Amino acid sequence: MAAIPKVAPRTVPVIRPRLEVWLWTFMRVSGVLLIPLAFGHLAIMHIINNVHNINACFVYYRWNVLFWWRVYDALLLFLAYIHGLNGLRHVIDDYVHHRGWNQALKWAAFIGGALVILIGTIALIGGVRVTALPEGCPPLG
Amino acid sequence: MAGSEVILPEEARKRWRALEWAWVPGAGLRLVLQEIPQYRGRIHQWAWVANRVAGLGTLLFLTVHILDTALVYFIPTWYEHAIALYRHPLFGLGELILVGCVLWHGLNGLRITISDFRPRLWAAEIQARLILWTVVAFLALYIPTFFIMGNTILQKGILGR
Repeated sequence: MAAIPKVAPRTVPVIRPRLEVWLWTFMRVSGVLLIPLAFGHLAIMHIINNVHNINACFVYYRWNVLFWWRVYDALLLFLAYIHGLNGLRHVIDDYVHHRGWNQALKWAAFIGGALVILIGTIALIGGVRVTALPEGCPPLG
Repeated sequence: MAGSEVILPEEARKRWRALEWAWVPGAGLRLVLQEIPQYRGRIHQWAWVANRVAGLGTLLFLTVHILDTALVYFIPTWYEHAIALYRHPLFGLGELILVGCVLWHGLNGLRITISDFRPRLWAAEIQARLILWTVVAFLALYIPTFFIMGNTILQKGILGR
């Protein structure tokens, strides 16, 4: 019987998660969070209410009287849009193999996406302007 | 051996030909579109295709939706016009498709997430069953949603009641 070779104890380097791993984790975490958030949003906006009774007044009361809906919408905005942008990055990597075009499209998606998130955030903080309110929708006193 | 020719398998030949097109943006898309009907990945492949299409469709709508809602702050007088567009029956159809996309992407994504944390589930036969269950869950949620939303579109959007 061959002797079992002795192995000296050694230190194994800890693998630090790199960007790809963080993004993978983000996709799973945001995806799971988005199931109640997005399904809830759809249920409220498309089943319980619908585009025929939603107007600026609806958004105004929802954001001002029920402040937490702003937090809900902020979560949706960030989680869903970043989740979508990262998905788009994978799609670009899958289909656009030319290096220059690949980089250009990813930068365009990144800059455009950052702009959309910025616009959304400003609107969410700024809220509905009183001039947007339709007839018969009194602004909060 | 002199005079003999190495015969590449059909797949390798196709990839080789695709390489000649690698400088074209979207050459990969061309390749994938050619290969999708030939890949024969069964229900697994179609779940993936549907996931990707649904994700891209949702992202497109999300972009439009964030910008139109931002009008309440940036250009308040335009908001009513944007909402009026959504009330058109054609947008109603888009709304039905959108809700289907989000529902499928969410449920299918949940299947993928669960399988990732229980790698044994990635066996092809188990996945085939899980995908079928995902389809069942999707239909169970989407069919009533379709009728409720379809009813609203018909009553308010088309008949104007």
